Amino acid sequence: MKRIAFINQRYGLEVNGGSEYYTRLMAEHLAGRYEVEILTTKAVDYVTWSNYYKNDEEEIQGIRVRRFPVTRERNMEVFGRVNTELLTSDHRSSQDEMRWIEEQGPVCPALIEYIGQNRDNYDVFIFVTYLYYTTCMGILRVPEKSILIPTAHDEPYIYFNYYKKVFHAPQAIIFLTEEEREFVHGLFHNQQIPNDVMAVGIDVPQQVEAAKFKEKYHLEDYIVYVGRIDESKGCRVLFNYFIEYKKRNHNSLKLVLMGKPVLEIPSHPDIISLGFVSEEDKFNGIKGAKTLILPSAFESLSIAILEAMAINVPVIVNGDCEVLKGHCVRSNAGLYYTNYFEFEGCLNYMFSHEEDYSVMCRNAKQYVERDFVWDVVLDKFSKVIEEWF
Amino acid sequence: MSKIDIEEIMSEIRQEIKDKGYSDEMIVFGEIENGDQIDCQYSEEVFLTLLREMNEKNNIEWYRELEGGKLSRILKKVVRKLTSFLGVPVVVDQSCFNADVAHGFSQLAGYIHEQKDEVDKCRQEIALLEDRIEELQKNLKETL
Repeated sequence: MKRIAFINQRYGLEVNGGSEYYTRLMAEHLAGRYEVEILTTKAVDYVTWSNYYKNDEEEIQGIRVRRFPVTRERNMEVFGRVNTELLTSDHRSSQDEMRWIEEQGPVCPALIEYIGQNRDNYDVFIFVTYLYYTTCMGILRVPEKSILIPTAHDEPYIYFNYYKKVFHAPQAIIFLTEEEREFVHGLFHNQQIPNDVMAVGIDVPQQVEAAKFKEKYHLEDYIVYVGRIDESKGCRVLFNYFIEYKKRNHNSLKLVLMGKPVLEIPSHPDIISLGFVSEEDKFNGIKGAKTLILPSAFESLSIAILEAMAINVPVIVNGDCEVLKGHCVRSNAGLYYTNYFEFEGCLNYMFSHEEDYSVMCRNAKQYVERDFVWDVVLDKFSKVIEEWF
Repeated sequence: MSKIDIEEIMSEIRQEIKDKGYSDEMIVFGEIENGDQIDCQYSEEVFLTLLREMNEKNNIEWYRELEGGKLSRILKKVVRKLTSFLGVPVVVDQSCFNADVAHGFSQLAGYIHEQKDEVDKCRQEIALLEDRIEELQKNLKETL
């Protein structure tokens, strides 16, 4: 059985983060086919990277996890300064970019050293997320044995020269969406590196009860947002848009938020924040909603969108995000907006076109059942490993 | 997959926006107010629903069914018994306050209803008076 290692900046059941959750899902599902290990840091907090986990090794849901200490916590004031300098500068030297990568962190030399010293003990090293120190340094130690899962999107950092090395290093690249592949090939011209597009399987509970959720929280007509409530996720704009929508449209629609707020939520009677909810409440809540709304402009895949679609709930997304727009167009199960009036138009369309709405609900589930089933995903992943390693 | 086309729907939405003459400049977002109650549209339906809920739920029970295994329920019962001298009076006072608030809001609902009737009556009288003024002005013109 081949031995594979996933490398991610954080790993753990309590870790919140898209790429970290993706890594855990893939590791747990591949464990039946390969001997899987995780190489990661001791950090749980993605802001400071401070060491949290005590043990160097542990087992999480049957997966062996090796943890290495972060040698330097991120100083947000220094990082902010370095970040601003680099983003506003016309010319970036390689030293400037290296400094940025180190200030970004998590600086974990012991993990990089371990990869170098143990290159022969693993058949494949899978680096998830291009951005952080762990990938930037680690992938260059074992390029011939690497798969890169970049989770790339169009953000300023990807244009740093350093990342040319990262995107030309691996033996194979796995993209989560067609949009990501097109973007990366367009930027790095690395089409010659073997690659494929595959996401994850979507798991939803057998029984989902919208009525139970509505009764518990005294809700009737609502749209739902699931995820971290953060400015970087587009939530401030969502609040502005929704409040404006309520001024212009007299109905009983509410906006329900499910997730940890790191941004202040407006004191509005139709904006209901439930905080972090149980998985049961999450799925019941999505099922009871007219639509799931995702205002983020930077998404690599969006499991939340796929989970909603898997239970027949159409979506409304930020059209500036090519990935989210791609889901809507390929599935014919979602609408997208790029300004306030389109946001209003999308909502009102869903309320006033019952037949089309029903079709979107059916399309949503069919889309997920076609492309986001575990057997399909795992077979594709195994094909990459068996063919190229 | 059943046939709708999202891009066609989006074109339809954009056309409707164009036909109505909407543009981004029409909307100016103010600072979102957090903490303080911001302006909201009054809805009688929402108000009455909330009022019904206030009336149904204003009473707080100190003694309620305890969850958990046998041992943990026994432990919880003991803790509840030991702290009841502190907790029960607080809960009773809170329930009384809740009932007063619910009663106050019911009074407010009654007042709103009465005022609505008064406003309707005034509107009818204004309409009648406006008709009368128009009639008198017409008569005056004809006389002159």
